Amino acid sequence: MDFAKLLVARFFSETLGMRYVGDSGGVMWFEEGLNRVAVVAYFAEVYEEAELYKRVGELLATPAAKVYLAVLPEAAPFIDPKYLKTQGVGLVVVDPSKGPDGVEIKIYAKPRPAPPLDTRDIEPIKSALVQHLETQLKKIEASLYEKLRRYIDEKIEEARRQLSAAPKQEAAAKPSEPPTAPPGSVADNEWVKILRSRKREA
Amino acid sequence: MISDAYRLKYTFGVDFGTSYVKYGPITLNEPRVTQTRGLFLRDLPESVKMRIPPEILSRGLVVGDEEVRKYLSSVRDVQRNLKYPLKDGIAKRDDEDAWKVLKELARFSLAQFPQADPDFEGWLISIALSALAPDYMYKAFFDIYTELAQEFKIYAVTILPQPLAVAIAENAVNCIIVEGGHGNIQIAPISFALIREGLVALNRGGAEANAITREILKDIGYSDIAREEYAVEMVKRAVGLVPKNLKEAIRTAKSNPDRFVSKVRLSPVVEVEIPREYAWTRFLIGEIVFDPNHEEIKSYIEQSRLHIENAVIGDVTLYGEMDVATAVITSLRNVSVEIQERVASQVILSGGAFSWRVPPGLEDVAVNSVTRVKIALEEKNPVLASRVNVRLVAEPQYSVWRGAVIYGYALPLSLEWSDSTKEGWYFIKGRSQ
Repeated sequence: MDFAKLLVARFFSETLGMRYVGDSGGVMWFEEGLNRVAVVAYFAEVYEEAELYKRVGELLATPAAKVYLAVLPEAAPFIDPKYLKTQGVGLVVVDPSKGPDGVEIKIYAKPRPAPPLDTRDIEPIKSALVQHLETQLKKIEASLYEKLRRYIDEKIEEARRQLSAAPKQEAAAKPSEPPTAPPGSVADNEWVKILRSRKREA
Repeated sequence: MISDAYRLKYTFGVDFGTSYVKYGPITLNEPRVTQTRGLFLRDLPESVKMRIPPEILSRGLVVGDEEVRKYLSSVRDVQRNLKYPLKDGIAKRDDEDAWKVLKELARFSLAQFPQADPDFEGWLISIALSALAPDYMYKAFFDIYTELAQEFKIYAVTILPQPLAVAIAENAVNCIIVEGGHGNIQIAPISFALIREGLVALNRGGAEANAITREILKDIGYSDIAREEYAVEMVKRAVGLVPKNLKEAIRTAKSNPDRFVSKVRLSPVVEVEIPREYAWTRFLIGEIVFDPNHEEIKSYIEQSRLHIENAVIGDVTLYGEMDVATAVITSLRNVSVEIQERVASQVILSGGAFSWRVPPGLEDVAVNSVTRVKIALEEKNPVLASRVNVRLVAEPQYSVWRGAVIYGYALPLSLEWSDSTKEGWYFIKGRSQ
């Protein structure tokens, strides 16, 4: 890694507090919390405008939440800040002659819509989560059902007690109509006839 | 004029059993039940006295299951103040506390059925007492209800013996009622009325089955459990067996004890096990009620571990060692020969002492009470046994009350109480029809 690149890596990790992940295909990757930040360093002695915008195009194609283009001060005349701002691309100017202080963010990158996640890794977590939620839901459902059942049983029992107490009180206060005929068990009892036939003793 | 319709509403039955009083008007399907006991509110701390309603405090005692429980913890000396007034259905003449409790029970039972009917002229009270109840008990109960008539409307009172009430409830006009209680067994021949001359009483019952269970528990090594009456009763109910033939049952149990080994869980922490070498003793528990005349049972008596002896209540002798079949035959012999066959046609067993079950798989050696009595009658008198129909009452707990209310409904109000026949209505305040 050349010195300018080293300065960029140091600036992003130590000054901005990002975690340096690695370098792949000329793109330096950093992590800022859960967001991935891509930095393309284009350091050349002679800058070509077409090459510059080609690099910006590459940056826009990366699946990163924020993208930065790192250039030497010599590239400044070729860059249209308006274009970068509208595209949301950040610009970092690196001056190796100034050492660690030679890195400056000229334009801050705008957050880009997150790229679609790789659901293959999430699927097992998702299914485990669904399962856990279902179990919890069933438990809550069961406890709710149990509480509800107990509540209803108590209320029914209360109502029954009141119902059975009501006729008793009613009977005490206002007796029901007298039965006109004896119930079967009494009417059919042979003893009734026998006892009825008893006469006053002489 | 008291009509039949009135009597179908206002006849009130009270069965004064040794353990429970069953009471209520004829209109109930089942009587209300409360324990035959009262709690005297003596030795009360002043702080407790302040919480008790003055009318209860002035009477000095409470009855009724809930009421007694409510004050039980407040009374310092429960042993002395919790009174069970009846022993074998009898209250002693001079036991003032017992009579106070009986009066309170009578008041308690009536107070639960207040009447606001303008046509209500008073209750027709029908009381069922033990067949052994002496004359003074009849008089005392009439006095109690005469006093209560100031508080409740009472038209008239009658008293009938419990075996007669059972016969009425069972719609059996000619029969022998064998009532097996906790303390004694009464054998009462009935033919259109109780034949008092034929009354035979045994001084045995559920209590003797408990006593032998207690001794067996001590032998096995459960002396601590044997001290608790409740635990003994539980063990008796769970392991007690009535043998078809005691000798054969013991032989079978000794030759194959594993069949008769039993465990009873009395509580989550107490379990009683009848081990192999004592498995045969299970048959003694049931047999003692029916016939204690076996050497296996006698050995307990000889060691003074069991007391089975005669007793006298009033003019009735309660036999200690007489077996049930002999008692039935003795009772029958005191009945006029002319009606003996009719009376013997039905032997009706009632009461807790005859409540025995046969565990599945032991049917070859164990039987229920009905079969045991049949077998015993066959051994003593095959001719009689061939003509007799032995059965258990349909409602062991309520049959006396049911019989009492039917008696109160049917007995003519023109029949005034007679001390000689012990039949008729006792009218309050000299009221008569």
